[in-house]
Amino acid sequence: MRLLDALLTTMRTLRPPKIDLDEAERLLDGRARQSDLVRLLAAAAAPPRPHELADEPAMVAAFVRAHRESERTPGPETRRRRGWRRMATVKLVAGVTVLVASGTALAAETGMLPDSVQRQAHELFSALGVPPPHSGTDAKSGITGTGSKTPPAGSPTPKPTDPAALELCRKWEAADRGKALGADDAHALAAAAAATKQGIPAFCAKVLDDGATPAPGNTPPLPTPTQHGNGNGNGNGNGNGNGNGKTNGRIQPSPTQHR
Amino acid sequence: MDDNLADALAAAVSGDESGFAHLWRALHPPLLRYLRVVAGDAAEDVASETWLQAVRDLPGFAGDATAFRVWLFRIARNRGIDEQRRAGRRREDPADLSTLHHDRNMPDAATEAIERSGTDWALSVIAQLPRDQAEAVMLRVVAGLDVAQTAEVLGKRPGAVRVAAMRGLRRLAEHVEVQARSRRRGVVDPLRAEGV
Repeated sequence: MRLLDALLTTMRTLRPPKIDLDEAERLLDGRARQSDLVRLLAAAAAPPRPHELADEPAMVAAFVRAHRESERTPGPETRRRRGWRRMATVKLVAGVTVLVASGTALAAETGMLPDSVQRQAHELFSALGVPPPHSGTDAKSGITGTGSKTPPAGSPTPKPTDPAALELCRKWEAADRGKALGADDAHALAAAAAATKQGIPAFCAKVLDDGATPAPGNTPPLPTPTQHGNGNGNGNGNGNGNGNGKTNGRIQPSPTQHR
Repeated sequence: MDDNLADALAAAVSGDESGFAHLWRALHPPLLRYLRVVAGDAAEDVASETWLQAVRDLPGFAGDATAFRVWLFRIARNRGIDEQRRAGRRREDPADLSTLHHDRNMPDAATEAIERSGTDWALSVIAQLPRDQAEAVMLRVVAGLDVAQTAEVLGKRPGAVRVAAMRGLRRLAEHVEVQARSRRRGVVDPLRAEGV
């Protein structure tokens, strides 16, 4: 600025001799004698104008957002450690899912779930043999514990049956065969698969196969008898569906929850 | 000059938003001006992208304030050049550039040069230099980098940077005179493409 002020008093200078490297350095460092060129350089480096600072709020907001995210996403070391923890979590969740699903499956199949849950299961998977709720299920409320773990009733339930299952299975496929599936979806899917006494991979294979042409029937067949014969064995053993190998496969009615 | 920024940078790296704001206020105007010269009309967009990338990578940044300055201008440069490529524009040919510039500023470039702020005028003149010269001048004068740091941003040897800056200044010196003379005569001569 000192330079610029001084320059404003000096209107014109004679043509300077050709600039050499030393003179260039003086100019670039602001040490050169006054000239139009110095004035031009000073103008280029003048203090910021208001419009050049107008984006500050937006960029600070972006900074705050990014920082929050970076706190959620850990650095490489913690990420590795967290990988193990996630593995363990997946195993645990898969184990619980199997337990819950086997119970839910039997319960859904036999109409023993609490009404709201049973209705939801029915709406989602009636084509697969899940009946609507009875009017009175008071005597069978021993299942409530498992029922409470199904997706919250608040979440919108797709009306047509097969598209819902299809969508879940597509999500499941897209989520790296369930590894990254949300808890609610995972549970709903496990329950659906269990209702047909199939593992998720087999269940989804069938659903996705049928996907293009949705099954017409949306009135449920009578609950159990036709479903009993098929498939306790199939689709269970392949084990990689939940990414952990051991715990995800076998869906069978747990002995404590028979009718 | 970067001593003042050291605290702001440290604060920003640890997630402090006022530290980041300080950093941004100090570095955004020169960044924007540099990008005006490198990326033309896309300067604002490229500057935003640059800052967003900086914001993303800041938590892992380990260098000092000068290193940050170099890093920031490098990001801006790469993005600016990509943008230029995308836009399919070429800045290598000063004759084309000056034509473009004067077309854009017609009918009366001299009047407009006076009406516009001295800074905009200066940037538009520097933008007419061949790009390596324009960049060397801008990084030295506006971004506040020394020869070695400018060389780092440009990926060149310091000697090459010195020469490019010197040539740019020579050409500017001629150009400024042309401007001064033409202001007297009320005529704008196009920037002379030869010389140096």
